[in-house]
Amino acid sequence: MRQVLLLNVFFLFSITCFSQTTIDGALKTKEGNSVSGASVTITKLQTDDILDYGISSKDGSFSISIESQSNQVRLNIRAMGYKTLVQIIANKTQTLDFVLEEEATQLKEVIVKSDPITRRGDTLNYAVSAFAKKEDRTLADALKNMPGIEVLSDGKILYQGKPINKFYIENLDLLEGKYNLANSNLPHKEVSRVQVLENHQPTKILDSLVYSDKAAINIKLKNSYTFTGQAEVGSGLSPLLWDVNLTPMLFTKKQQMLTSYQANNTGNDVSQQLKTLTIEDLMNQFENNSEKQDWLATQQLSAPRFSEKRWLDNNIHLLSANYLQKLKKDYELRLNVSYLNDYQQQEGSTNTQFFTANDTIALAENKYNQLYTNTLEADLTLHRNTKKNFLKNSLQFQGSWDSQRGSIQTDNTPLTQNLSNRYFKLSNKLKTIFPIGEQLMTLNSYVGFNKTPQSLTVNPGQFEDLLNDGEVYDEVTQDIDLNTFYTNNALGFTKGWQSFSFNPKVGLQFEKQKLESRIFTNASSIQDNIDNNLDWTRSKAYFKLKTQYKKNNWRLEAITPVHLHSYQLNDKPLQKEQDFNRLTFEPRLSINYDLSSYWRVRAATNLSNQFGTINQVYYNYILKNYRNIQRIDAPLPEMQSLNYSASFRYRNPIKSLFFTLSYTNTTTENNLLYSNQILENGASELRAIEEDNKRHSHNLSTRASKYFRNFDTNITLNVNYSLQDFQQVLNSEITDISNQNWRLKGKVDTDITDWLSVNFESIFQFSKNKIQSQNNQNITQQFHKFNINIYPKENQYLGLKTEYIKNNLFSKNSDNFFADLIYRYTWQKKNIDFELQWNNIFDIKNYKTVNINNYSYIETNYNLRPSQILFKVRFSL
Amino acid sequence: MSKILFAFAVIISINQNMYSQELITDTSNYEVIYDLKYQRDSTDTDSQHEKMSLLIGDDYSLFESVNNQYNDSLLIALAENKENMSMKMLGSKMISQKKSSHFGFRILKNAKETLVQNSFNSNDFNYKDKDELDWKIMGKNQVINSYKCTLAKTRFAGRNYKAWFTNEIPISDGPYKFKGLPGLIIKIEDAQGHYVFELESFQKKKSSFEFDPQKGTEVSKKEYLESHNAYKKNFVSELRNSGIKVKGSQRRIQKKAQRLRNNEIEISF
Repeated sequence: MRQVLLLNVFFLFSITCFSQTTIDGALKTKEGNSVSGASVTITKLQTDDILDYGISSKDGSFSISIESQSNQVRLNIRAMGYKTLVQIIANKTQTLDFVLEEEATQLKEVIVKSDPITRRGDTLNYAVSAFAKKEDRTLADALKNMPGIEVLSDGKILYQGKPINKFYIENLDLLEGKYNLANSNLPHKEVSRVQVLENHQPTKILDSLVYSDKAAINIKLKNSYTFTGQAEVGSGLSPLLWDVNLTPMLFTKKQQMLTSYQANNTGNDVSQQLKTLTIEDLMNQFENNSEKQDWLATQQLSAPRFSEKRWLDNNIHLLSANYLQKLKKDYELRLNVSYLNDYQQQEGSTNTQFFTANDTIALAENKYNQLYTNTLEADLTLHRNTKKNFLKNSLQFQGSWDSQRGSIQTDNTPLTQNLSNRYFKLSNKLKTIFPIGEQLMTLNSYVGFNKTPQSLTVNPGQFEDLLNDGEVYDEVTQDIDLNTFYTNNALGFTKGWQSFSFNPKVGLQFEKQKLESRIFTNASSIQDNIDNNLDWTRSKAYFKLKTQYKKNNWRLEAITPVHLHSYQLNDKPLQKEQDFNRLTFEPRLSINYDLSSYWRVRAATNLSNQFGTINQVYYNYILKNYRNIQRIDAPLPEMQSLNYSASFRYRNPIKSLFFTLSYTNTTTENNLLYSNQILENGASELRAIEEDNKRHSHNLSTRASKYFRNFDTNITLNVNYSLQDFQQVLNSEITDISNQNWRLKGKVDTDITDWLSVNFESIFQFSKNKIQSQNNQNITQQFHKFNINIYPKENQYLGLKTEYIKNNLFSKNSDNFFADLIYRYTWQKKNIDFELQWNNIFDIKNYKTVNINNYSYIETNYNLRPSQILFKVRFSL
Repeated sequence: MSKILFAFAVIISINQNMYSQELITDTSNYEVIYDLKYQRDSTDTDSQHEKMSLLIGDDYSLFESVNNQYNDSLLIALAENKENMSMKMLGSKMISQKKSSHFGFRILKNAKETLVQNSFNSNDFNYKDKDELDWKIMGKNQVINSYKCTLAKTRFAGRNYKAWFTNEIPISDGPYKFKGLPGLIIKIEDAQGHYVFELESFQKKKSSFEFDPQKGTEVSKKEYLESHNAYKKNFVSELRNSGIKVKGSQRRIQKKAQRLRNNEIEISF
């Protein structure tokens, strides 16, 4: 066998040798320089057929072997910048050197027109009809097919892998960050073109000055008048369930409107959709201190820490209307209104143990709460965005007519709580950018007024000793009203110099508040009224300089703000006042260094000061809830925190290995300690005393993940550890408290076959609480999830989700096993989705959780939603 | 002991290898724009298009997507102007994080070598590709886009290709990693027609370009392809690993993404 093979090889070799000629040579210029990169072809004499070819190397040499029977062949030399040389040569092995004549080569330039996607400057136009497929229904479906565009499952649109910064419909920004409402509901057949605006700077005045690497999307509609939308209807048992979502919309050249009505009693909290999504907006709210604040409360049941769909007993109606009108001179007027109505019920029991330095007090309560939410929000925005001018002014109103009713059954007597927690806010926010000389200045201004008229009535009356000379009585009512006026104004600009960038800003905040509260009892022996009449004035003048430096692998940022704070508190009837000024310097420094493409190190430190708010100083009692009455006759809390943090990151995509480690250390100095007096009936009373104290906290967390290619499996591990040490006054004694928490999490995702995947997740939590070096019982919680996803066909999905939760509580252990089943079928022809859900298959009735406070353990038994079946249909309007 | 010494020597030599390459700069004489028609999903006959550019200089040519080229030139412009405006510096900072496009590669070629730079999951990599392709010239001619072309065939990375080149442009170059024919490649496509590069324009253009072999991590082609495949297969969890929040059913997104990217230009190596 081997001999035959050898023989064959020999034959082949000899045959090729026999008819092969080799032509070697070198190419030079007249000056004797070698010519490289020239193409040397040997062609047949009669035709142009190439027999073989060579490309001249750096020294100008070439070597070509040809197989041909003919006696003569043609040799062609073509090179950029040289005259083409053609010569007929004999077909024999030979060496030929050539001298090439230089000549400006005029190559034919060609432009072929063919454009499926057209580009004009920074704008790309996609014709929707060319990209939409048969099964696609909404614009989001069609967008997914366009090259460069991706749509994530939460609706976020990416262009070239990065989130877009604006979503316009006919160049108008109706919904801002909530664009998914339009994108996932607008049928693509209404759209003619999708434009991608690359490097889009939404603020036109900054267009050529501030570079943007983000893209925006603009939707061009087919008709100047478009009415469309989508609907979803679902129903189920038991009790009778419904789930409705209707989203009609209207677009014309001058106006746009999108309305959405959603209602359900299936435990789906659709009010989440009204939440602010972008980080920028959340930051604004924080700065403006305009979140709704509840002073009074009914005793709540703490909700289980898993999906609300298992426990939320709701009856929600949400209406959201968005309207935009184009005005003259490039002004736009936009109105967004939303109305939310919800009725939630909570039922269950709690078992609270208050730990004091020498005693334990237990309290058992059965609770039934009814929560009524009634909120109206409106935002009227005037917007002008031109090359010369930027102006955005938003006038906002929020009104909440919320109320709650709570019934509590303790060991002896029934108790009712009636709460009205209303809240009203009116505010105006202005942002404008204008030039001063060559510099562009940014002015931000916020003015707001809000009011919280709230009241709590408890039957029977509580705190007899304090409120009614120790006599039992029927009813106690706490009324409270806080009026707040707040304004914040800042002016700033940015200047760059070499690798530095400077961003100075000056600003002034001013706040005026009036707190009025009164406790009424129906008893005859009326004491002096328990009133607060507190006037609060706060102002802050600030200068902030942000310096950034970036070079090579280093990135440094220093923020050096100076604040001048001024506080005046005055309760005239109680003859209490305090008054002080503070000058604070709150620097922040952060350093980023990229060690290599795999390793990154980051370190940061900052010093900051916080001062208390009006709900941390009031000179007379306020009944916060039926068993908590508070007064805080103390100086305003002042806190100074020093924070250090460091993190390492390792990312190796070659090995699919990722690892992060971070550590944070915070020390907070506090001027007050709170004393919590726990009375025999479980009621508590909070007082503040002046005593400097420190709170230390450490946090260490790490995460590692690795993908195993051979098994299509990803494994992730997380470990978190936190430790807090602080002091607290318990029953008149200063007590050292230490809390330790461990959290371990492991996760495995694996694809078994193309149509079957499973994932598994386990969490272990250990909590340890130590009071005065005396350990309390440890708490262990375990959460395990196991999901199976089956895709029998392209248009079908079957999922089984199971969850096992085990708690080692201080009185007894509990464990629960939940399972849900979901089946989805898409009728592709008609674009209709059908979905069948069976939730809580094992009909688990209630669930126990534990909350650990600084001085108490609270065990909650929460009644869950029963086993239920829901059928849903989704289609276009 | 000798083993340790040997390992040490290897490490040193690897290091030297890694840093032996210096910044390569060149200026183009011509630019060829190719329309790339491609089908990422082999089961789906709808194809997509992207514009690709081949800049031909005296010593090197650079091939990349037109979008990437645009980003690169912007980056240079920003770097030059950074004294003037700090926000521009900020812009350059932003853009320095390379965009992930469907074709993020940069391919630098001359007769001797083919260098590839590519990135995924915001990491840059460099590898050397095959220097020479084994072309077979077929005796078939055809006029394409007004150039008289000759047919040649080759096999590369698991696909058989038909290439039409013209000796009217005596530049031994072409789109992607294709080179070494006695004339410019006007059109090249694989046997299934999943990847088709066709000349759209050939024009004079003076434009300087550079290629920094030190920008990315040096890996072998095998290492690169293996990790890139794993990334594609599992890109949702890799995104999560790098700290990006991904909502919704991981499996669903992943399946879709896999389906959409099952048909890469290079099947084997």
